[in-house]
Amino acid sequence: MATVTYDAASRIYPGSTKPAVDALNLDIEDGEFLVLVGPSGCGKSTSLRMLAGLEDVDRGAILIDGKDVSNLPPKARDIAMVFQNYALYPHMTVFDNMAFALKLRKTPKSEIERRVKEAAALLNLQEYLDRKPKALSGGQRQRVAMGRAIVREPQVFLMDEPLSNLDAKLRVQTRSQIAALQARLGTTTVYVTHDQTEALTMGHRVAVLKDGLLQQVDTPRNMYDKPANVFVAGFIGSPAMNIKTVKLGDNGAVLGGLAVPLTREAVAKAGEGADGKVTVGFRPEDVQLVGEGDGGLSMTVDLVEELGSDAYVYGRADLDGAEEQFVIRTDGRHTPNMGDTVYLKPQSTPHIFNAATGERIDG
Amino acid sequence: MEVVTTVQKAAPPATRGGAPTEGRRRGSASRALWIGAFLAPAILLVIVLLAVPFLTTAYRSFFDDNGLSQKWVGLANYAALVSDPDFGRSLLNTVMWVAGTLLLPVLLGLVLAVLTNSVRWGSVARTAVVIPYALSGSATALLWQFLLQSDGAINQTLTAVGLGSWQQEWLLHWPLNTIVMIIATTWQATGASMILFLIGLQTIPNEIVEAAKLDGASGLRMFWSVVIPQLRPMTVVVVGMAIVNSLKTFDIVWLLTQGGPGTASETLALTMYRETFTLNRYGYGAAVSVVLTIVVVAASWLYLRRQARSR
Repeated sequence: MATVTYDAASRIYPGSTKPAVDALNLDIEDGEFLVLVGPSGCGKSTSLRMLAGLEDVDRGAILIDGKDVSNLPPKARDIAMVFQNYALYPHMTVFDNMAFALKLRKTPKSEIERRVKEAAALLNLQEYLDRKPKALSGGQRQRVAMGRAIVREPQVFLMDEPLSNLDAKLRVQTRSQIAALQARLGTTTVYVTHDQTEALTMGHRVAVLKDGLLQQVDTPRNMYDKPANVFVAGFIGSPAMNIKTVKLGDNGAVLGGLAVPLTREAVAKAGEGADGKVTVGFRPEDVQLVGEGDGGLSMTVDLVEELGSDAYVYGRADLDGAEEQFVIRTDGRHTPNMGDTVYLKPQSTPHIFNAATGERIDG
Repeated sequence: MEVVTTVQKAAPPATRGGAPTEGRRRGSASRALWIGAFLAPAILLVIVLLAVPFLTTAYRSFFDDNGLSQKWVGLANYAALVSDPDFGRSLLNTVMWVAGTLLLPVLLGLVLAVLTNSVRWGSVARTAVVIPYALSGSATALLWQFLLQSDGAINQTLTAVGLGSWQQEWLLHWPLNTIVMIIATTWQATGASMILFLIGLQTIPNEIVEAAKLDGASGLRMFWSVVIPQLRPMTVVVVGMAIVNSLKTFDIVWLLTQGGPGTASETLALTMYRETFTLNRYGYGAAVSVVLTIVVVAASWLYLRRQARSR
C-alpha cells in the first residue's frame, strides 16, 4: 500500500502541441479510492496510463510512496491494472491468467496456488479456474481481471473503466462489489470512469478533468454541493444543474421575473470582468413549484418524465427575451401536464459563478 | 416446378416435428436430391481432377510401362523404389527441403515480422523482404544461377575481396547444392510468411501486451508466453503451407541443377518427372508420385489434426 503523487505531470503526444494531461497535481492517500472522471478525451485514461508506465511523463513527475517512478518500466512500479476489455490472456486458463505475474516473479508454487485460490474464493471463481476466458461470461471475465490484479498484492490498483462492458444491472452490482473489495483490501486505488454515478458512488474522493486540466478534486458530497466551477457543476449530477448566465443587478442576479439576492461581496466578485453578467445554477431538486403571483419564474412544461417516486419536468422560460430550457424534480404523484405554465422558485441560495471565468463564488 | 412445390409442402411437418408421414418421407428424399444437386458440380470436379488422375496413376504404378507396352508387375515398382539409392537420396533431399523451409523462411519470417512490427523503419525493411516474393520461381532461379554458378557473382566477389580460397562449386556437390537452393528459396519465400505473421501480430490486442508488461513480462518472455500463443492460428496456416510447398519443390531445383549432378539434388517431384517423362518409365514414375502423394497427404493430415485437437 502506498501514496500516489502527481507532481505537475504532463503528457504531450507526439505530433501534438497541446498536452493531453496538463500539469496534473494530485495527492492520493494511502488506502484511498480516487476516481478520475470526465468526458471523452479529458485525459483521465492518459493520467492513469502515465501512472501505470504505459505512457511517458513528458514534464513533471509521478511518485509512488514518495519514490519517483516517472522513468521506471511498468513492471518495476508494483501496480496492477484492470482494463476496460479485461485484456485476459486468451490462451491461458483462469488459473494461469491469475498466476502469470506471480510465475514471472518466481513465486513458490505453493504460494501461487494459495493466493490464486484465495482470490478465486473472494470473487466466486473457484469452479472456473480450469476454463479459458472465451468460455466465461462478461461478468466472470471482469472478475478474473480483478483477480489477476488482486493476487499480485500490488501497492496500487489501477482500473480503466472496468465496468463499461457489462450490462446495466451487472454494472450496478459489480460497482458495489468493487467498492467493498477495495475497502476490505485497503489498497490504494485509482479508478477511471466517464460515468459520474460510478464516480460519486465509489470514490472516497473524485477528481474531475477537462481538456487535460484538473477542475476539482473533492469528496463526492462536496463535489455535488460546492462545484468549483461551471464545468463541474454541469458535469456532476443527473439531470444536470440548470445553469444560466443572466443580468447582474446591484443586489443580486435577475433571473427573468425572479430576483436572486446576493451579498455585497458576492456581487463585487461576480462583477469582475463579467460585463454586468452573472452565472446562476440550481439543481433540479432545489426548486419549488409555487403559485402564480408568488414571485416565481414562469415556465411552460414541454415534457414530464415519470420515474415512480419522482418526476422530472422539462420546460422553457423566458429570460431577458431569450427562451431557456429548465429541468426540475417534483413529486412523482403530483406532476403538471404538458403545456401547463408553472412557477419556479429556488429553495436555497443558488450556486453563483463568475460569468467570465466560470469560477464559483461563495456567499 | 413440381419438385419445388413438394419441398414447400413437406417443410411444415418437418419443422413441427410431427409424426413421420408419407409427405415427410417424400420431402426428405427430395431434400437429399436438392443437396446432392448443389454439391454435384464440386464433387464432379474433385472426381475428374483429383480422384480419377490419382486412381489412374495408382493403377499404372502396378505396370511395367514404357509407353508402348504394359505388363502387370504388381508391387515390383514399389519394391524397386525401396532398394533404389537414387530414390533414397531423393527422399532425403525432400526431407531436407521440408526441414529447411520450416527452419528458414518460416522462422525468419516470424522473427522479421516481430522485429519490424513497431519500429520506425519497419515498413522499409518489410518492403525489401517482400519484393522477392513478387518474382516468379523461374526468375528467382535465373538470378541465383547468376550468383551461384562456378564463375558466378559469389565466387568472383570472393576472389575480388581476397577470399578466393572460400570459393565453392556451389551447385555441384551434395549436400551443399540442396542447402544453397533452400537458401535461394528462403530469399524468395520469407516475405510471404512475414506478411502472414504481421497480420497475425496486428490482431493481438494492444491491451493484452500492456497487461503482460504490467505483469512483468518483457523481451523473450513476452514473446514466448504472450505473443507466440496468440499467433497460433496464423502459424498453423504458415507452417501447413510451408510443409506442402516444400514437399512439392520442383521449379527452382529443375532450373538450377536439373536435379544433378546426376540425381544428387533431386526431390521426389523431380524424380517423378525424370522417371516418367525423361526415361519413359511410366509405371515407376507413377509409383514415385503415389509415394509423394501419400507423404503430402499424410503430413498435412497429421499436422492439421494435431493442431485441431490441441486448440
